[in-house]
Amino acid sequence: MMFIPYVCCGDPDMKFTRAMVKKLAPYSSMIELGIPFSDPIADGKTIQAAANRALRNGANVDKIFSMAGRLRREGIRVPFVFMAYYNTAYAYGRENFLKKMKEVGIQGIIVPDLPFNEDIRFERMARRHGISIVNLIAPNTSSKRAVKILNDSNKGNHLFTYLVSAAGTTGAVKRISSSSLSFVRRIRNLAGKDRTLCVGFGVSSAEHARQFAGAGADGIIVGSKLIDIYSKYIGSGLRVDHRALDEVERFAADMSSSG
Amino acid sequence: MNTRFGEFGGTYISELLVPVLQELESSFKRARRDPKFNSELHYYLFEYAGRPTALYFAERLSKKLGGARIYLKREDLLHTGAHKINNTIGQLLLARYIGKSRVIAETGAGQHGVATATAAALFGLKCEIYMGAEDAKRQSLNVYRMKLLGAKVNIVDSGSRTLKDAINEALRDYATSFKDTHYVIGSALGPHPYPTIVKHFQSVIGKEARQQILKAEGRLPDYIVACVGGGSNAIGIFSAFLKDKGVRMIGVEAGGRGIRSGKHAARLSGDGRKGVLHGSFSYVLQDKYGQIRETHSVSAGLDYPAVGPEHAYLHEQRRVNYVSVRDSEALRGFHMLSQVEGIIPALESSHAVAYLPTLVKKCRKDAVIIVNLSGRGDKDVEYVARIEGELA
Repeated sequence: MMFIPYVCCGDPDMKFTRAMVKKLAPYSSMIELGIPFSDPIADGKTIQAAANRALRNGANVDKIFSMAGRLRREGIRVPFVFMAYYNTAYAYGRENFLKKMKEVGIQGIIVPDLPFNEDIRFERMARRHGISIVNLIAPNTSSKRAVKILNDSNKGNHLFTYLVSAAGTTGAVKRISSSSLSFVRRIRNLAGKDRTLCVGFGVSSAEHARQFAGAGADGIIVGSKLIDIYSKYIGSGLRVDHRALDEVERFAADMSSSG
Repeated sequence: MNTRFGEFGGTYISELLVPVLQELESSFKRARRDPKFNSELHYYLFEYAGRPTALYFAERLSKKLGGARIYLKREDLLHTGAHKINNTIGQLLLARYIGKSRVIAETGAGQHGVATATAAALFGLKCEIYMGAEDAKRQSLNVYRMKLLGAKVNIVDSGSRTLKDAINEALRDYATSFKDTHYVIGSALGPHPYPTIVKHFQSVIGKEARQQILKAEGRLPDYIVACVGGGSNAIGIFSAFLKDKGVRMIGVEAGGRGIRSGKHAARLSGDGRKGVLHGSFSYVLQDKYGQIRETHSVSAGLDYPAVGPEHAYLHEQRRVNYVSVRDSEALRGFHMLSQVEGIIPALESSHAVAYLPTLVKKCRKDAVIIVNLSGRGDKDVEYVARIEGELA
């Protein structure tokens, strides 16, 4: 089972994110680097709060690119995927953004507000730069559309397809509903054996990971739960101590041994 | 149906909402061709909301400004005090048509929230309104008004705690509750098909104005002036005249404390750049990294960092000229219309009024101008009295 943690870059500062990525790397199949955005409509309260802290503390795309580059130079080899709202890439200049991703070694990008085929030019551009766009499929995506999305994922350098576990926004939930599991089974049936399917939105424990693995998922994405873990150590001065990193590491170890 | 206006518009939204918006589009296409739907819409607009609204020749104002014949399209006379009710009655009927039992909406100053709560009460649907904490503080009476109409008001404490954050929260609700819920967007913005739906329900303004001016003047107007927040009242009146080359159109944005101060909401006439906010590609006030900027205007209804995508298109086509008017000028417009015509305009509409002195200086003496008076100013009286030091 692939464990893909999501980190909100710059929360509470870039130094902590860099340290956390290093802690997570040995346990992770891939790491999702979230670029904080002022108006994250797909995110629940936890990631909203994290993005706000990051932006207040001066996080920006340039700093995130240089952090990723530095981690690569320091020998961190785990694949990186961006999680960025469309306006972030657009404002940077889409060509430049993709070029820079390639340069610093970020393999793919998840754009939560860019559904499949909404911007074909951007999809082509990414392909040309050798960047994989991770498409999302939701429980209410029709099977016809899901097949189209899965087939597209076959072209070029496909990383995985992101299954949105349930209606709503990101944020840890206690229990996985049976409809989430049957959704994963439905997409696995459509996808056949070869495609990589990872489930996100609400996933927060090793138990969830086992349940989704049973339904046919190859991996899980965990974001809000990680933030819940370290953010309780954030004092008013936004300083983080090593206890936060230790607890993050314990959680990652637990998750990575879940399947 | 076109999902874009030129390159603007589109559906930049979570995959969860893609099937929902596709279904909304096909239901809307069916509804607008359905004679029963249209006769109901007509009935409620005319018998309940107070249509048609007058196209009033503002003789004293015309004289005072020393030229031009100025007409006011009196959307301020509608039930709940603004053009917003045209859209909410339309969208509530649409919600009922597609079998939704609950509606949600965002609101800035509270006008759209009140208009949605009103239509929800009229048609017996559950209603929840999202309103930024900052706005709720400034417009506490409207919060009560919505509750009085049976709506639940959710105060939004995230981000800048204003309209844009209320839209974020409403979109999050929609991505969770779409099975039984319709999201009543209040302006000609958001992902496709919303800009087209809102334009459709507001286009009654332009259709009426066109007939009325032909009757009154025997010809089309030379100019149409409307304020532009999201842009629904403007697109509502512009839409009937877009093909008439001789009719020049002016969209007035909120200049706030001036473009250079950075405290404004002038997306097209100021320093907005292309980008995506709330599901559509348009002009957006943003920083170098694409983070959405905070905006300022004396008028809450214009205080929004993006503009409806069709306005971005009309701007690029140079079909409409977008200008901005500062807070102080808008307040002068507010007083001028009150004193000269006995009509207290909404602060939003005051921006359109405030542009008239500039326009009249430039145009011919016999020019015909229509101003879309989108709302009445009762809601703003207390606020203006306060900033002018008349109230403690």
